[in-house]
Amino acid sequence: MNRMIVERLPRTEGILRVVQSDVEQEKTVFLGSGRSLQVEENLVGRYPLEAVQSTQMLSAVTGVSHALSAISALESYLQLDPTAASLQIRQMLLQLSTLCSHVTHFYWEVLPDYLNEDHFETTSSLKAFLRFDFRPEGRKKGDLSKEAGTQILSHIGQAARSLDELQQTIALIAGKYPVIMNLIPGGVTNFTFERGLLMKLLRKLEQVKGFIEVIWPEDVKLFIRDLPETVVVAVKKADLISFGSLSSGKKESIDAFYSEGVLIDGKLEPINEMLITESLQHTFYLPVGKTAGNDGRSFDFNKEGARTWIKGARYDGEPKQTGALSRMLITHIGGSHMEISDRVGRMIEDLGLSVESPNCIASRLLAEVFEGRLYIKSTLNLLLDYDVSLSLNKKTAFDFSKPGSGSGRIESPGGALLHQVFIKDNRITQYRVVSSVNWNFSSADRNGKTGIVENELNATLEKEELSVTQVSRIIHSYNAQILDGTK
Amino acid sequence: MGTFFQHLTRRDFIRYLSVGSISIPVLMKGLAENLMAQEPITQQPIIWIQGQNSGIHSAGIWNLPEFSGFLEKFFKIVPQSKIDGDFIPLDDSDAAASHILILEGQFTNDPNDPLNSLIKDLIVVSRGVILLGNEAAYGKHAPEGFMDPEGDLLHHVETPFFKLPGAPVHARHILGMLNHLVLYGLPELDAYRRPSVFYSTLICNRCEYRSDFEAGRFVRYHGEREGCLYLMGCKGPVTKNSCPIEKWNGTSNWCVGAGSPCTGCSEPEYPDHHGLGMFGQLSSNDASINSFFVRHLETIAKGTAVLTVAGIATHAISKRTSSPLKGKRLSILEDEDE
Repeated sequence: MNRMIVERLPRTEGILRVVQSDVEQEKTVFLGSGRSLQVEENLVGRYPLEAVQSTQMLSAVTGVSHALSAISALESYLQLDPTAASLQIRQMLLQLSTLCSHVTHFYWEVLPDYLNEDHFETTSSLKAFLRFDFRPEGRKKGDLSKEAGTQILSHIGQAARSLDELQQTIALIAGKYPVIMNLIPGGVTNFTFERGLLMKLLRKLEQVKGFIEVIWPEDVKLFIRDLPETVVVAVKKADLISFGSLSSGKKESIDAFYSEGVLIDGKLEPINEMLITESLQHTFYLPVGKTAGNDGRSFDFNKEGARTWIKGARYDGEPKQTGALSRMLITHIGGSHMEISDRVGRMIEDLGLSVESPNCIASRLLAEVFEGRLYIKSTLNLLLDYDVSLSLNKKTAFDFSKPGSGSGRIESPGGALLHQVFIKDNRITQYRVVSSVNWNFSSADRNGKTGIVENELNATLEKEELSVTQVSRIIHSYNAQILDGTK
Repeated sequence: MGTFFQHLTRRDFIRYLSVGSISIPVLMKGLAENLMAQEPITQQPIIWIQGQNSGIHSAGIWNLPEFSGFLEKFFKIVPQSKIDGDFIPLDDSDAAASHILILEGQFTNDPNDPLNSLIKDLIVVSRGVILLGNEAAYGKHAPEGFMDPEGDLLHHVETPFFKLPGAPVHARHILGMLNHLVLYGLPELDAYRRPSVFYSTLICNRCEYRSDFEAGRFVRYHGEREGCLYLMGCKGPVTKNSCPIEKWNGTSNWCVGAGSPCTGCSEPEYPDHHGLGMFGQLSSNDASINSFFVRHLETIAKGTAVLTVAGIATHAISKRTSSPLKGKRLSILEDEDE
C-alpha cells in the first residue's frame, strides 16, 4: 500500500512527491517528480549557441551555472580556450550566482521548516515569505526556540536586500538576472569592462559584504546551536563527487579553490567522464533504442513502475553525493587548498563529526556559509585585480559545421553539473544534462541502489515514522530545485 | 518629493504608479511607504498558481521588500497550498469571489492532476487571468503532456485574460499590470493579448545603438567594436518590449547593453523566429533596414546573380553561334582563295 507523504514539496522549483510504500511490514520511501519539460529533446535541431539560453530556464538559482556549463561544452567542441579576462568574469558570475542560491537556500527554503506562529508575534517578516505563500502554524517538534527564530527573522529584510544587490551586480555584468546573456565561445560579449563599471560592482559588493561575512554565518551558527538534532548523521557512508573549480584566468590560481575528484571506498580518484551514467529505472524514459507512440517519443507515460522524470546519475554504477559539502571535503581530502582544508577540518571537529561520516543538515548548511565567505572575498579580489586592457573574447566566428561533441563540467550551487553536446551541420544532434538533482534526488536503479536523499529518508524511516515536516526538513537541506533534474 | 506626494490622493498616487514607467523607481526609493500610509483600502484577492516552473519569472521581484509590502497592502495573496487542499467552496469565499488569477509555468493536461481541475474551476470565476512568462503565455509550444492555457482553457470561457511574456518577465510589467487591474480593469491589448503599454514599441526604435542601425554601422563579430548587433542576429527590429528604457534588475543594463543581441524572448515565435532561431540574422526587409547598402544587399545580390547568369548565357550562346560563322568565313575565304 502506498501513502503520499508530500504531494508537492513547497518552496522548490518543479514538483517533488514523497511516497511511502508499506509492503508486508517493510516500509520504504521513494521520490517521484513532476513531468519533464523535455529541454534536452527540444534542443535537438537547434543552433548550438541556443543551448546557453535555453538551459537557463531550468532553474532560477542554478541557471547561471547551466549557461557556464553549456558554453564550456561548446568551447570543448570548438577546441577554443576562453580569454583570461573572460575567465575572470565567468568566475565572478558563478560565485555571485552561487551566493544568491545559498542565501535563498537558508533563509527561504530551510528556515521556514523550523518556524511557527510564535516567531511572528513581534515581527512583520511574514511578507518576506509571500512568494512561497508560507503561513506559519502552531509549534511543532524540532522548531527553533522563540528567541533564536525571532533573532534570525530580524535579518530577513537584510537578506532580501543583499540578494537584490547581488542580482543587480550580476545584471550589470551580464545584462540581466536570472537569465544571463553575455556568454559566447572564447569569451564574453561585453563591449567594454571599464573602470567605471568595476567601481560600480565594487560598491555594490561592499554593501553585501557585511551580511555575507558576518550576519548570515552568525544566523546559521545560532540555528545549529539551537537545534542539535541537525547534527545527527543518518547515513554513515559518504560517497562524494566534485567537478572542481572553474579556472579563474589568473596566472597564480589562488582562486581555483576546489579539487575535482570522486571518492570511491574512501580513496580519492580523478574523474573519468566515461564512467558517468544515468539510470532509467523507475523513470518514464524508455531504454535506449525503444520508442513509444506514433511520433517515436523516448518516454512512456504508462511505463510499469515509473514514478519519476529524474534520471539517476551514477559514477561507475554508484550513487554519489554532490554539493558544497562534497566539494569542500574532496578538496580537504586532496589537500590542495590549505585554507579550505583547515576550515573544513575545524568545522567537522566543532560539530563532533568525522571526515568519513560528515553528512548532516548542519554540515551542509555550514559548508555553504563558508563557501559564501570565500566567494565574496574572491570576487572582490578578482575585481580589484582586473586588468581592463585585456581582451574580452577571441574576436572570431564560430564554426559548428563539423560533426563532433563537447562537454562542460562545473560545480553549480547544488553540486556537480555536466553538459554534453553533439553537433553536426550547425545543429545540435543530441544534448545531455546531468545536474546535482540527478545525483542527489534519483530513485533506485536496477541494482536497487538509491540516490542520496532517498537513502537518507529511508535511513530515518528505520528509526521513526516520517512526518511531513521531517521529510521537508531533510529535503530542503539539500538543494532541491527539482525542475533542474527533470529537464 | 515629500511635498509633492502630500498633495496627492491615494488614487492619484496609484495612477502615477500604474503608468509603469515610474513604478519600480518610486517603489525602490521607499516612497511606497507614503502610499501605504494612506487610507485603508480593500485588498484585491490574487491567486498565484505555479505549475512546473523554475521561478525565473518571479526571482527578480520578490527580493524587493517594497514590492512584497506593496503587494501585501493592496492585494491578498491566497496561498496555493490552501487552494490545493480544501480551499474551494469558491462561491462563498471572499478570496474566490473576484480574484485575479496568475498562472506561471506549465501545467499538465493530465485530468488526474489536482492542479488541472483546480485551474479549470478557478478560470471560470476569475475577474481576470494573467498568463505569466512564455511557458504559460505561449503554451502552444508546450511539450507533450502539457496544456496550452489559452487554446485549451481560456478560449472556451468569457473570462478576460492577457499575457506577460518574456524570458524572464520584467518585474515592472507584473507590478504595472496589477496596478492597472485595480484602477482601470483590463489594459489595452495588442494582437497577441499583451498590454500595449509595455509591448507596443519595437526594441530597435528605442535602442541606444539606433543611430548605428540607421547609418548601417554594424558589429560583424563580437569584440569588433561597440554598436548595432543586427548582423549578429539581433531581433530588436521585430520585438516589441520596453527593455531599452526600463532595463533589468534596477540597473542600467540590459541584453544589448551587455553586448548580446536581443533574442526576441517576448515574441510568440521565440525561440524559433520562423526558422531563424535566436541568433539567425533577420532579412533586411523584416528589419526595415535604412542603410542603403544593407537595404539593397539582397537586390544587389540577386542582380549580381542575374547578371552573372546572363553573362554566362551570352558567352555560351556567342561561343555556339560564333563557331559556324568562323567556318563560313573560312569557306568564303577558301572560295575566294580558289
